[in-house]
Amino acid sequence: MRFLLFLCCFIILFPGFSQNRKDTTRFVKIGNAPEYEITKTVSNKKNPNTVILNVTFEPYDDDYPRGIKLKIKGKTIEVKPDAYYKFSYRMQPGKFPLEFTSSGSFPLVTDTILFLKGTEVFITVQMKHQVGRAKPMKPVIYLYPEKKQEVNVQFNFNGITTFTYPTYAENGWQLTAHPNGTLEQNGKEYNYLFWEGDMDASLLHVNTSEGSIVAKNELVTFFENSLASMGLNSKEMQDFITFWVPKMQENELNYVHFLVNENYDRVSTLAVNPEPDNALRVYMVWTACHNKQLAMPLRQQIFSPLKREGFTVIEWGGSEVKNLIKDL
Amino acid sequence: MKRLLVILLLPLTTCFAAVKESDMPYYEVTGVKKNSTLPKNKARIVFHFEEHSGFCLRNLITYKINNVQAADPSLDTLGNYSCNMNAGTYEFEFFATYCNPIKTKKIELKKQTVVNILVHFHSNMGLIEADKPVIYLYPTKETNVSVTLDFKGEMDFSYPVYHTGWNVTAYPGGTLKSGQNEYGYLFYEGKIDLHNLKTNYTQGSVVESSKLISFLESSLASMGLNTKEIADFVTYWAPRMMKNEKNCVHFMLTDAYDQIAGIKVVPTPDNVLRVYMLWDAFDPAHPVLMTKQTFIPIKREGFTVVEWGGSEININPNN
Repeated sequence: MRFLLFLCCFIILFPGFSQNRKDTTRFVKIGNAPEYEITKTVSNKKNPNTVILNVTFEPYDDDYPRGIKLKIKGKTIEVKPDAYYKFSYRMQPGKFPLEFTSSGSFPLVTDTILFLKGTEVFITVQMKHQVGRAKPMKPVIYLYPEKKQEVNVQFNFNGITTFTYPTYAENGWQLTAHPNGTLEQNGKEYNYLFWEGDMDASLLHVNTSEGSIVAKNELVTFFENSLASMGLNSKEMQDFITFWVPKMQENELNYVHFLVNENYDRVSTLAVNPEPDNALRVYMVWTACHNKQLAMPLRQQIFSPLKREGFTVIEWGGSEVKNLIKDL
Repeated sequence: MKRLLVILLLPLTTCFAAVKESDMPYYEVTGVKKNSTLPKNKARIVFHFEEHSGFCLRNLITYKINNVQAADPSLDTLGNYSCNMNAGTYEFEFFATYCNPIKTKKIELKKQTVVNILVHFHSNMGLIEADKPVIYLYPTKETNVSVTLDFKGEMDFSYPVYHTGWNVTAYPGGTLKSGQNEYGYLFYEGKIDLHNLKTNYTQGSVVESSKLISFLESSLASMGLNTKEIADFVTYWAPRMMKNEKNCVHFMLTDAYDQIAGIKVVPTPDNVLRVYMLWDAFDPAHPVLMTKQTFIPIKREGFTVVEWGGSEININPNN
């Protein structure tokens, strides 16, 4: 009895306690099945004859679904979530399932839900990706001609380009390159050409029997050694390291695989005119892993350094590809 | 029984800690004054809204009177809103983006009185990433330069490694040498507590994705960044920002930047420009009115130091 009394006081006195409890009802990921959860049903006297459906979309692998459609009793509705990935819809009451589809995700069909008139139903939905997507991030291209000259650069990306800087024209980037790497276009100076896009990760054809598992506190040294062995200079390495390490050090361990030169063509090809004497293209594919010991033993990748002679072109980029490897 | 008590007491103590740590939301009737110039059956209610960082007040506040949605209050620049109401007893509930709602008990508005209510929101925003502050040094001649930071957060990463400061040899073109290695800039990254930032978020711009590049280019150029620095800034931020149809963008310049990190450069530079950008997705459900920020370009003469960084404010209010 004393115990019960105590418990009551506890709950009344500390509203924070009930908040903590809310946290425990978060998503539990089970296998590959899509998830949903009805979080709340409240009465809504303002709309006594209809039902207000409030959907919140949860990210999956930090990514939100795109092009979402909701099918209710055979009727398809285009879902346009707001900035917080919430969506509200007024519908007729009844007993039916909700069918969510999205481009690139597994469809999600809920159980049959009873929607009573005059209620507001809150549901949280998490849609899972069907095909892994890779976002080639920050491919940057450096040009080092022997003398100041006009250069045309074109790339052909195996996906959809989402961003270029300076703006990529129909016939590519046309600019004046200087021996120190400065690029000039319309009176503006740049250090590199930049593009970014979105592609299907399966096109990368990563040979996952090769690569390295790198602990987060060894990332910087690992990159300094690997990239120097390929022939990057310390400024290019700094651009690479300051871009990737902050993202990768969120994981204790990462699997790292480099696609170099002709293997880079799986991501994109590069045409530079006049033709460079030497080119080095480094694309890094990485993913978090949880165990140093993999199901398959890894072969270390070895690189022969580029000769930085004559007109030299350097390009680097990379993608995080989730669930690329199976670890124990 | 004793053991049970201990088990129950343990979470209790953590509960206490949680309550103590945070600055809680509250409301308070701060004054009631008779005013016979008001119509006979009316009372005047004056709300004063406050929130520590000021960020949440940038968005529209909404409120309910006796559980019925009321007309949106338009705040003055001091965070006040007032209106006349019929005398009576009311319950109010206030909502602000990123904040927990505040519900009042019954408040009596007597005839011909002015009632002041203070509404103190507590934002549930906390730590945000301070992304990619980079520092460029442009001395007039080869100079040994030391740079020390007073970062107001927790540094996650630096390159070259910061230790207790950076010591580099800087060249007029901006190249920095440390040992055998050459760098283009000094880099650090970390987490800061948004609650510690004081700036006027109502200044800034709402920018459409299609106009983002030209907006950033012209804003940064008007502050005095050169095209290479602008390229570093734009290629870092624009791809992230363009995922949103519209963004709210606010810049904190040189003096305000000290709230993120103080900087000490030896020898003392002749000109310093530090640009910190705060941004978040524009939410059509909470339209924002922002007044444009204007900048005076720095003179890039003598030993010049340029730094830029930024934070996306992307705290989901449900978390």
